[in-house]
Amino acid sequence: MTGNGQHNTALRWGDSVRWFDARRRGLGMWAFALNRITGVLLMIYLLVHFVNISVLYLGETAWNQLMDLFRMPPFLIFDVALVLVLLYHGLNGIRLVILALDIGVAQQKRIFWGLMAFGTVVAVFTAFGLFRG
Amino acid sequence: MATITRVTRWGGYPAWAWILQAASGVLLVVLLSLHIIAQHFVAPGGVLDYGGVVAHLRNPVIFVLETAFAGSVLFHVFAGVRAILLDLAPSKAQERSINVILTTLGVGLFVYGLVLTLVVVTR
Repeated sequence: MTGNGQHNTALRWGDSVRWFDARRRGLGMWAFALNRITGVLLMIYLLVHFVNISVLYLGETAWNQLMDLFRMPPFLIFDVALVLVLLYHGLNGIRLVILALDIGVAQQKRIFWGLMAFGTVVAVFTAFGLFRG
Repeated sequence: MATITRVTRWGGYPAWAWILQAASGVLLVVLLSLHIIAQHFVAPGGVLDYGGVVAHLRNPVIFVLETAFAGSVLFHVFAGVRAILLDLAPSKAQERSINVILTTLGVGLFVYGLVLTLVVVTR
């Protein structure tokens, strides 16, 4: 819906290209862009996850073989990356809800970096937890 | 004007999709944390073997939590996809198709996950 209430009849290719133009953007715009990118990554992961849990249908042997694969270091690195993406998306989401409730609008940059610092600490503990086994 | 009224009203109507996505997001912080901790941190070696998965899902409390998790994550993901598509300014007809397709996918995956869970706990 545009400002004068008119509807466009088709998806506008120009808009989707401009969306990737990251110049002249403040922290909030970067945070929003990253929120969408991480959101799309998590959607892809969710669909892959639906496929991998479907191996449960194939029974015990197939599932346990898959889990032996998932315990290997390349997959643990993937898990750490997944946790980083989840932490960013979740913590930034909390920031959005806080702002929508009109809390901390003036301190939003500090809140953003505070949440990111918290996320970094959680990510480090998670990485240690995963590689310890 | 309070920020909440700006972000939650769209064209004079409450933006229910946004409100529900924010609410499901907050719920997911709790449910996803439980999902990850139960499946990957309490489990030996970081993942559950087949017997572990069955025992986990046969716990009625876990079953309810995992089902609620699946429902809220699917709602949240497809509401997010819808928000991205609506930002591309689709026509009313395109918006209706988007709603139908995404709702079908979301409900379909929820039912698929529920059937998978029930098959695993009952065999």
